[in-house]
Amino acid sequence: MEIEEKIWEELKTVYDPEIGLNVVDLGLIYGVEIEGSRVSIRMTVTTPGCPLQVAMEQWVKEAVMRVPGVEEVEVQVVFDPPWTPERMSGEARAMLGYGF
Amino acid sequence: MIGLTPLSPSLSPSYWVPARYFILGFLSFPLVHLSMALGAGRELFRGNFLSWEVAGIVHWAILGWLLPVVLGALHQLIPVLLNAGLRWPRLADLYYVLLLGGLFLLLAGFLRGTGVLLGVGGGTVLSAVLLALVNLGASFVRSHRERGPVQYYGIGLSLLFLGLTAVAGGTMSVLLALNSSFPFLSFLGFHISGGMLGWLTVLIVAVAYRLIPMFSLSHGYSVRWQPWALALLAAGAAGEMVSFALAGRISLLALGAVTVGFLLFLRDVAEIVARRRRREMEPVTLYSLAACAAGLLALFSGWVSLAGGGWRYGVAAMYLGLFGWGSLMAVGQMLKIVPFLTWLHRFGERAGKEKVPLARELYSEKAARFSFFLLPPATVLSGLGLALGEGTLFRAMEALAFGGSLVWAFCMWQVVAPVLFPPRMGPLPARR
Repeated sequence: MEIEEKIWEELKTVYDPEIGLNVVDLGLIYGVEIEGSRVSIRMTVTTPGCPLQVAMEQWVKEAVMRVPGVEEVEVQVVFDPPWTPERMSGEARAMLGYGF
Repeated sequence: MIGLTPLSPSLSPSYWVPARYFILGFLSFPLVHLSMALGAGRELFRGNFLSWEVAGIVHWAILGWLLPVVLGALHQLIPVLLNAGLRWPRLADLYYVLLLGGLFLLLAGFLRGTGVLLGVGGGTVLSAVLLALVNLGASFVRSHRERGPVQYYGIGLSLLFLGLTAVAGGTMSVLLALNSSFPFLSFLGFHISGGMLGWLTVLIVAVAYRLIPMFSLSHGYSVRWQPWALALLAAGAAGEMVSFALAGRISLLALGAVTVGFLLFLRDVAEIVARRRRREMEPVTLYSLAACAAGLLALFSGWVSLAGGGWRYGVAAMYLGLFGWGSLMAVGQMLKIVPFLTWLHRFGERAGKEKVPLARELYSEKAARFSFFLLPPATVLSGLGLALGEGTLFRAMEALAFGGSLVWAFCMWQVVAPVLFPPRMGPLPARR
């Protein structure tokens, strides 16, 4: 599991430039699957048609590729289930002052 | 050298395609308010609203400010919305130059009252707009989308109205240059209604349905009235355009359709904003709401004018539509769009590899908030000055609006200046 922890750590370096939070605390990462040196990431964006989608996919891919032992990364962007602010970490919600 | 990082490398045009339109707009907007503060609108108070001076100011505001920022935003938004790249990116260079040249010629024509300059300038602007429409229209066709979101049709309709408005305006300028006799007021009515209601209003409503929830991170709202709002606004705009050819017989009905469409839009906006997840309202949302309020006031003023309130209310309605509804919405959206595009251009390749600023840190949000406390109140009070025939109030409020627009333009300058005059940056870390 050490590699998965490293992947999550690297994913925390990918920030949404508009909101100012990393994709993990924003709750955009739905899942990480590891098969040997191949990693599959399931993620979403805050709103369908978000103009950042392609850039975020690329940043996530680059971040995971930085983990030693990873040789191939597949990023899948999904909208089911849709992202909601409730998916953010408590710390992230407090930081942004989001109301629920 | 700063790397170019479009939103989607295969779809988005270069940063400079939208950015140069934005820069033209940022320069024009404060200057238009300044010129009115210095008395450029005084002919309005003499009832001479068809003067060259008034026409010059209005065209400067539209062709130097609103049209450039709208074209800049559309060149970025349409590829994202349609998932198809701009059909001919190089063509965008040509019609930018044509728009800029045509604007200067047209303004010189209005300033000197010279028919030839008006004709050449109007024809050049018309060719720029038509080429832009061909490029954007071809991008629609290229998308091969069988069924897009409702905004897709709204934007398409607004571009159609823009084409009709430009053809009417260009034709008028050429006919004036040739001293030909033609039904001037019918042409003018067609031109103004097509521009204000058909192009500007339908476009803003279509785009706002996408941008307001996106920027305020709203969730769980419905936009059930969106198709009705867009259909009524477009039908009302078409009705107003035709009404001038029919001696105004369907004008009331058309304005009624526009009013109902606008109220339905406001109802949806209220729900979107109520369901936003960000407690504090950002300047973009504040400006959007101020624009909606100004749009409502413009409609009210239009109805008062039609109900016998006099031509001054009609002029106030036009002013509030242009500088309230259109400009305040553009000012707000630019506070998100320009930093966002610039951030991608400057830091897209560095994100995740090193500490980079956030998009909103590229300008002073305090200054943007300060501009909000100057610009919308000054705009509304300027409109009041026009409605009441109070020239002193109008000029004083235009001076205040100039101050607000200058603060806002300063925020935009903070964003784009490092791209125009790049600071020294270290090399990118080595890739794996």
